[in-house]
Amino acid sequence: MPQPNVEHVIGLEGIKPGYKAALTVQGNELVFAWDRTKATIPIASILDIFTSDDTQQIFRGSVGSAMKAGVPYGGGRVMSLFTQATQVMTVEYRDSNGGFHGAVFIFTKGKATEAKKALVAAGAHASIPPEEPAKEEKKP
Amino acid sequence: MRDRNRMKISMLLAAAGAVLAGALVAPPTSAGQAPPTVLTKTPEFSASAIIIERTEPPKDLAIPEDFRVATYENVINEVTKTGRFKQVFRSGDHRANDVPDLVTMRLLPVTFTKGSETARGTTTVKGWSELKIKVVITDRSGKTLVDQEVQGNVRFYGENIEVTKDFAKKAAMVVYQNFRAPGH
Repeated sequence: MPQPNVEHVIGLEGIKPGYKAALTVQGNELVFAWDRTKATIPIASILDIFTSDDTQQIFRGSVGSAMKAGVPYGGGRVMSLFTQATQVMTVEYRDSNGGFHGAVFIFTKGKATEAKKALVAAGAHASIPPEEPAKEEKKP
Repeated sequence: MRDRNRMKISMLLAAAGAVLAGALVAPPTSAGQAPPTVLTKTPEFSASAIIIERTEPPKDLAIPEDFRVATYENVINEVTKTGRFKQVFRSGDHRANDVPDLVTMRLLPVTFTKGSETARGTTTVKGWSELKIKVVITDRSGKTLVDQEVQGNVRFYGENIEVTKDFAKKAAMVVYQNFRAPGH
């Protein structure tokens, strides 16, 4: 059962930035869906896929900013040090009129590479092949 | 004499207190929330449609793909919000070929600093995110209508990618100032 653990940053029509949903490959489509909200990208229309590592503040958004501002004696600055590793995936695609679109998603670390692999396996084009995970070293 | 000195000191302390209180009460001026620009001139151009081309940085300027895409998508959203065009086309949309008075917007990045949200949060004077892009708008004949550098910033609160939103709002303001609403 997929979990709503992928955050939409920008690019999907009708989906607000910051919305979290599950990103899956279903048949010929990349599906971003949770609850009644759903957006799809036909895999054949994907021009390229990019992934990159990033970090994200744990206390973020307007609530996080308010919490930081509310801590006395500059204690909010310490809260800015709490970060978590994330991965960003950018999907570039064309609509039926030829218009260029780009969608950006945030994953927990390592999950974007998995998603890219699944997309490439389903036939999506990627100029840079998905990175292979580091091989486990074995004692001789 | 002593009373006068005492009065001077208390006035200075009161003034210093007022300045400090103002600094604490006033909201931080994040560059991501620039004050609205006052429209001082009448827009001189009009067009029924605009096509926004993809952000193409020069080879010596590395801009992460997510920032490039976010810039493009935010500019489309913000230019649509201005209401200056009946249609806003995406790069490559073949329907734009049939519009006689189409104008083309190109985004040519000049400088980019990704910045660091952690550095901004801990120091407040470091880690700024900055994105400067040359906005060029041309008509069908290739005549340049607008050629202006626009800079987006995130200097306090906000994630690094918010710099693309700040840039897009300012770029849309350039469009708003230079183009009349349809039918005017």
